Amino acid sequence: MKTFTKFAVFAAMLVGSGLTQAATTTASIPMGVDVPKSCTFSNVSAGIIIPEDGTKARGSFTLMCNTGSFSVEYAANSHANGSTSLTSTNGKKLNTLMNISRVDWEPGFPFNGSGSVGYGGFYGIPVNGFFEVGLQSPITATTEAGVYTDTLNMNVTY
Amino acid sequence: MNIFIKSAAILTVLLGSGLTQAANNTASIPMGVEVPKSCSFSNVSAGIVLPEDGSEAQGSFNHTCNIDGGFNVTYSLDSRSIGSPKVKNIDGISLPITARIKSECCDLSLDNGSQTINFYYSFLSRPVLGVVTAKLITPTTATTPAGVYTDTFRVNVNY
Repeated sequence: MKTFTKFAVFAAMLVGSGLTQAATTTASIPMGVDVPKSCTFSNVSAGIIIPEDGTKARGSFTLMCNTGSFSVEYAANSHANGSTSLTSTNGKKLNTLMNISRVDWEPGFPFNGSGSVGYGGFYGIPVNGFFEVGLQSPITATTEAGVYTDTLNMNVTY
Repeated sequence: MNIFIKSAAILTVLLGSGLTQAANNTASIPMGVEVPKSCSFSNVSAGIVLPEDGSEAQGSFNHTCNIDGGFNVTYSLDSRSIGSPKVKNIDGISLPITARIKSECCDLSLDNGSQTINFYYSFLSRPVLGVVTAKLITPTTATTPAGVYTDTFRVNVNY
């Protein structure tokens, strides 16, 4: 009899363990969004007509980044030997002088046609830069007629 | 366990897209100047005094263009618009003259009307000399009415 009783209690415990204990199984799915860095140019001057008398004309641009640190490489197509120029379809050149201003509240500094500028702390702040270009020497009556051009390229890395 | 592995992989991809890619953006600003075609005269004679004896007098001028070629020059005498070349005084009395123009290639008479020379190439910024010569066909005589007899030689560069 004793033996039977013990057996019964044991059996009850086995059965009870399955019916009364709470059990959970979990899984989790992380989620998120990555906002990529971006920089965009806007208000870029469509074209600059350079005065014939050697005075400078101004072009401008706006750069907006969603990251605080970036750099801009400036390069004139004509850059060669530390100077810049305009070139006609006949291959004739007119030397130019350029200034570049990183932001609109500082004066421009001489630009020889190639250079890079680092920016910090401009998160969400528009950078209004500009550059100026003029002929090194005014046009004279003996300057060959034609259309003389150059292009300033800006490449922002972020 | 399978679910967890998949979700972790997605997260890695999301983060990786922003952390590992370098990015650039570019803009450019064209600039330029147009130098217009132009031609100008220099060293233009103030006037030509024709000798009374019928000998020849001359005047000269230069024209210079900032184009290599593709222009032409027309030479004419005002008096030629009405009849033959002549100098005329204020009373309308005229004395016949003969005139020529020499420039570059050509030596041309102006007696029968205007003349045109075409300049095709190699004239960029080069002064081109023109010389006009004129003389009375007949020397003046004692019976020639006194007065100032004039005509005008004109040069027109078309470019």
